[in-house]
Formats: sequence, structure tokens, C-alpha cells
Amino acid sequence: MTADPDFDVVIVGAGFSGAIMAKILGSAGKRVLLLDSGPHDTPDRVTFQNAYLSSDAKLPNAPYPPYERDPSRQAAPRAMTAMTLTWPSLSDMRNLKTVLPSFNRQSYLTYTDSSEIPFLSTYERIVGGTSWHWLGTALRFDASDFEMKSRYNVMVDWPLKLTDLFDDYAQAEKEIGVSANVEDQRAMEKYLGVQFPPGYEYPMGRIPMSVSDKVINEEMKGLTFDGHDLEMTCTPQGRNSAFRNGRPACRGNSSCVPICPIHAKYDSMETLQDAMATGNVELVTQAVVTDLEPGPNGIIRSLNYLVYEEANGHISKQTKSVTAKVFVLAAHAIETVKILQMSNNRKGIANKSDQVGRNLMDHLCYLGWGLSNTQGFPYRGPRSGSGIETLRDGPFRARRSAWRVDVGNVGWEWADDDPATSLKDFVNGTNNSRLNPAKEQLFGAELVERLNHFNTRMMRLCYLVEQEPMQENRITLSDTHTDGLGLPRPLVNYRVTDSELTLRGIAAAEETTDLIFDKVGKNYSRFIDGTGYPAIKFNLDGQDHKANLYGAGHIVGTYRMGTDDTNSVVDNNQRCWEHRNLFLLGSGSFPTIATGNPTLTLVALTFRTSRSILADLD
Amino acid sequence: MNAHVPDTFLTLSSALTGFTEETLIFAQQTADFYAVFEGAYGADTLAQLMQSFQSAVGEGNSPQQAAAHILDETQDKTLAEAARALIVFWYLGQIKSTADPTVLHIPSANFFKQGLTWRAIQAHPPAASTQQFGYWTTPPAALSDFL
Repeated sequence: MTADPDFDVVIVGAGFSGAIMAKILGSAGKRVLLLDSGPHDTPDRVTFQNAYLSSDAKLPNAPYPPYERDPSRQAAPRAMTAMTLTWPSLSDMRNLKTVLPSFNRQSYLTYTDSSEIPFLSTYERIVGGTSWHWLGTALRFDASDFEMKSRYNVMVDWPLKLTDLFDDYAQAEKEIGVSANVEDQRAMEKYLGVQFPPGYEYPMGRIPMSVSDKVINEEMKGLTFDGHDLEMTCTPQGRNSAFRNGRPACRGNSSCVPICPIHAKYDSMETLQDAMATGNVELVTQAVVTDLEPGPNGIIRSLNYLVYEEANGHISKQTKSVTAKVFVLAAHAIETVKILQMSNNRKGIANKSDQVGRNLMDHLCYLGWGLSNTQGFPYRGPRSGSGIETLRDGPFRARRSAWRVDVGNVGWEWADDDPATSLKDFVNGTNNSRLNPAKEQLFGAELVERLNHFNTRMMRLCYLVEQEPMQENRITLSDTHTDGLGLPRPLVNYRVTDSELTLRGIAAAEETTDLIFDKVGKNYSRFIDGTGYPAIKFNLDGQDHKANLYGAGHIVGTYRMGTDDTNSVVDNNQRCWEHRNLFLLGSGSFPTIATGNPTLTLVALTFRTSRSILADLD
Repeated sequence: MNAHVPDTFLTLSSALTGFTEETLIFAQQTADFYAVFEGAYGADTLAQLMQSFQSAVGEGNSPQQAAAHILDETQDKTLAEAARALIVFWYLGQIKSTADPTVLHIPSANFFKQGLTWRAIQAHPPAASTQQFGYWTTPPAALSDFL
């Protein structure tokens, strides 16, 4: 290790992983420098809330800076849903080559012309990272998620088993503050196997089901798919069900993504305060890392970064360098890869396996929506509080991707921007929602009644389809496009239809939607062939399919962990095989995306890696 | 905040939206729907809307009949369109922007929070709940309580 380094540990990224690791290491007396590419809680939660309330499109990035859209003029631009709004419709995809130059100029993530859809998920580059806009879902993975190759002969195994993470999952649930009843989760054992050691209890009790959840659960009774019952479970959630750690219980604002206005939902700001309170953590904001410098034996000697200021559309920057015993990149599955690839004069580091940047994954979201016969009253309670977990595992995983179903509590908001769309239909005599086929123009009491009748019955299912890791779904550096600091933007190659396993998972989601709404009410799901609605088409067993896909915000897989330096970038402690004092945190290390939302697992892995680092330092 | 708001604006708005004048007055206290609508559509159009409504009522029509008269495109298309824009504004807080009249925008957070849509569906605007933990486990109050 370097003689007399500036710090014990430098951590890049003050999101979920970075903040928690800074707290652990700072509490153990280690001197930590924490760098973040964005501003610090600027302006503040109320300003973010107001930015959301007054935004025309209530997208996940809406509350957070930068608010401008030109990535070539921003010091720390990020992927935004808004950037996908000009992606060609499925029937216009043959023109992709023609529209890509203009698309790539406007989008932080740029694309190859062999891509089928844009990468659909987004993240934040501010202190606190994407913890600001996460939903709060905090499910453990199931045992099979870690052993897909051994159990079903598909994908790859993790170099870890579920039982190896029991203690770390418990620590993660404690730090985040997860609300759930363990017996609700144990009731899934017949489908998911054992997920908890004996005697385990969550930090807080469950967040109860909404009226809408109860209605759909009751009306689904008796339905099965692939031999499993379709039933709902209260989701373990990273939001308070009681006053805890100075934060209130959830008040059901229904806006968890993108902002909890009362901080009932966990975000990294709380952990960060604890980290700073140790007196051992120094936070530098608006600091964008440019590269790492390896020395003999691959040991990283120093890290270079730019500290910037933005004023009146002008960016000024200063180059800085720091040494440390240990370096940690916790900058997300896209930015972390960029740093590795920009190092060594843009020839890259840590890439003996040729796996850096590959296997980019997301939970591909298939939306099913319809009306229930009984009023469920959405927009009351957390944005999503329950899900169908019974189909996360089973023998079918040998032939098709598994999924869980996030059962929404916000009507058709995601599916077609309701209640706004139906309101405008009923007032203006249009039929964009397909709820006004006679194109009536209503006002007064009739308008209230019609709006109420439909919107209190709207239900939306989001299937989080496990995307198979594919070598060619990858991130490299753009040769042509840069950000406001002159650093290369990511170049993404992203396809879905090369994986039959994934496609069969999407087809199963379509089928299940029909099954559910046939029983519960009426299916209104439909394929939208429009600009800004990324879509795929495929043929399975002689049947043509077309599907719109949406992002889950789960950015996974670009520096996979594995068993040796030929098949992976990091080991099962997230330590780089080639650079033994370099650790890569976050869901980029996941070999597969599994069937649960990734945050809880990436936090559990942060606890595991922190132990390795403390052992090294001591 | 309501001193400058003519009663006719409220009775007209009530007939168009299906909500009581009292509910609209409370919303108007937080977000100045009257002034912003006047800014977007012009004092003349607003005066014409109110006048047309007033005279229809004066001829013995109910407020509902008077509203229907204004919304009848065969009478005055521009006026009917303005009236429909007023309904959308009250319901969603969205109105045409003076910078770009082809797109709707939300002038400020309070207009979104006061939007009547959320009351019409017995809910609350996202990010602006006023209730406590667990309220979502039981059905909401009757629709009439929200009007």
C-alpha cells in the first residue's frame, strides 16, 4: 500500500452504498474521503417536492437537478426518462440509423445503431444518489436467484449463496429501516424456499394493504399460473411504519417515486449525517472522478478528479488527486464502469476478463392495466405496498424468466398518465384513455361521476421480468459525445430479443394479465406504437408478440462478481481481481438481476465488503 | 386573496366543475386560479365568459343550463374552448403557458395540490397527503364529502 496516503479509504459516490460504507468505516475510526459528482441536498427537500408538484411530466428525475436537458453543457448529467421520449416507435425502428445522430446529441446515454430499445432506467447524480427516488421495496432474493446455473441450467451462479448473506441482509434491513412482518414473508416458503433464519424479526411491523390491494387479492382468489397460486403479499418496504430514527411513519403520500415529502422513506441523507458525525469522514461534492492510477502489482495508488462550479451556464473546473490505502467505487453500474474505462489513458483497467461494461441488465417492466369490478380507490397509501411473489421461483425458470408483480396503488398513472388523460377526454370529447368511446363532452356533476367511476377502479400490474445477462448488452465510452467537463458519455448497446428466456418471461406476463383481468374486471392493456414508447416484437411458437417495455430503475451487471479473474471483474467481496485495493460496490456486481428489487441486496453486500476492507486496514 | 374574484367567476366555475362554490373559494385562497386564467386567456375572454353565463342565468336558466350554453360550440367556439380550458385548469392545475400556448403547464405547486381531480376520485394529490399512517386500509369518505 502507498506510504503515508492522504486517506485510509476514498469512496466515490454518496448514495446507498457509499454513505453506508462511509458510516461503517468512519465509526471504526478510519479516515474516509467521500466524493460525489453532484451537489449536496441542494436546494432542499421542500424545493425538490415543489419541483415535482409543478412539473408537467411527473417522471422519476423531475424533482432533482440538473433540470436542463443538454448533457453537453452539464458537469454531471445523468440518464433521464425524458431522454427516451424521442425514441422511434416500433414501426419506425428501421429509421433508427437516421434519427440516432440527433437522439445521441440530446441524450447522456448514447446508443449504437444495433440497439433495439434505449436503456430504460435512470439514476441521480446528487448527494444521496438514487436513494432519493427509489420506491422503497426491500425484498430479499430467494435461494434460487443465487444458483440459476446449478438449479435450472440457465444464466450463471453467484459466487455466494443466500445463507451467506443472512446476517448482512439483517444489517441492511436495520440500517434502512424495513417495515414487514416476517410471517407474511415466511408464508411464501413453499414457493421461494427459506429466506430468513429462525427467530428473525424485521425492525418494524408491516405497512398494511390498501383497499385497492385487498380488492385485487380477494378477486384473484383461485387463480393459478404455472401451477402457482396468484396471491398478494405485503411488500417489505424501506419506509417507516412507526416513528424511528427521528423520521415519521408513512402518511401515504403516494409519491415514493420520485420523492417522499416527509422522509418516511429511507434515503441516504440520514446515514450520511451519521457518517459525518463520526468526525472521520470528509465529503467533497461536485467532484467528478476521471481515472484511477494503478502502480506495481495492480495496486491503485491514486485517484484523479475534477471539482467543478457552475454559474451562468459556465463551468469552471480544477484538477485534484488523492492517495489512499483503499479505493471504493460506489458510483452505480454506469458511472463506475466509465471510471474504469477512462483509466489508464482510456485503455481501461480491471478488465482481464473482458467483462467490464458487459451484461447490462434491468428488470424489464411489462405493464398490465385494467378496471376492477369493485372500487379499489387508488392514490391512497404508498405507491406500491403489495406484490405477487409466488411466481418468483419454480421449475419454469429453466425455460422462461421469472418475475414478481408490483401491484400499483396509483391507478393508470404509469400506464397512460391518468387521471389527467381521462379527465381531458371527458372534458374535450377525446378518447385517448379509451374510456370515452362515444367522445362525449361532460361538465358538472356528470363529469365528476364519470371520472370517479373509472378512476376509482383503475389497477396496474408491473411485471419485473428477470433479464438474462447478455455479453453484447454493454457500455463503452463514446468517441464522439462528451459531457460539460469534456468527459466521454457512455455508449450503450442494448437488445432484448436475443434472449428467448427473457422473451418467454414477457409472454408469460401478457398471459397472466389476461387471466387476472378476466376474473377481476376488464383488461385495458394495449400495445402503443408511438414515439417515446420503446417496444420490441418477437415470435414464439408461431405466435407474434409486440410489447412496450419500461424501466424498473434497476441498473445491474456491468462488473459482475464470479469465481476467478477469467469470468468476472470482482470476487464475492466485490474486490477487483486485478487491483486488490479496489472495490466496486452496487448492483453492477450482480451476476444476474434475480427476482427482487436490487437495493436491499446491494446494501447487504456493502456490509459484507466493509468487513473485508476493515480486515485489510487492520 | 379572493377580494378581486367576482362572484360570477365562482358560480360559473361551480357549474362547470360540479364542485360547490365553497370548495372553489378554499382552493382559490391557496392558488389564484382567477388571475392566472385571466392572464392566459385575457380579460376580454374572461369577461365574456362571465357575461354569457350571467345573461343565460338572467333569462331564467339554471346554472347548469347556462354552463351548457357556454360549452355549446355552435354558439361560440372560442368561448366554449376557453370554458373547457377552465375546467381542465380547475381539475388538474394545468393551463396553457404564455411562453408557449401549445403546451399546458402547471404554474406552481399549489395549483397541482388544489386540483379538483383528486377530490373527484376521493383521493389526494400525490406528494400532498394530509392524512396519517394506515388511512389507506379503509375506503375513503363518501364522494359527496369531497365536493
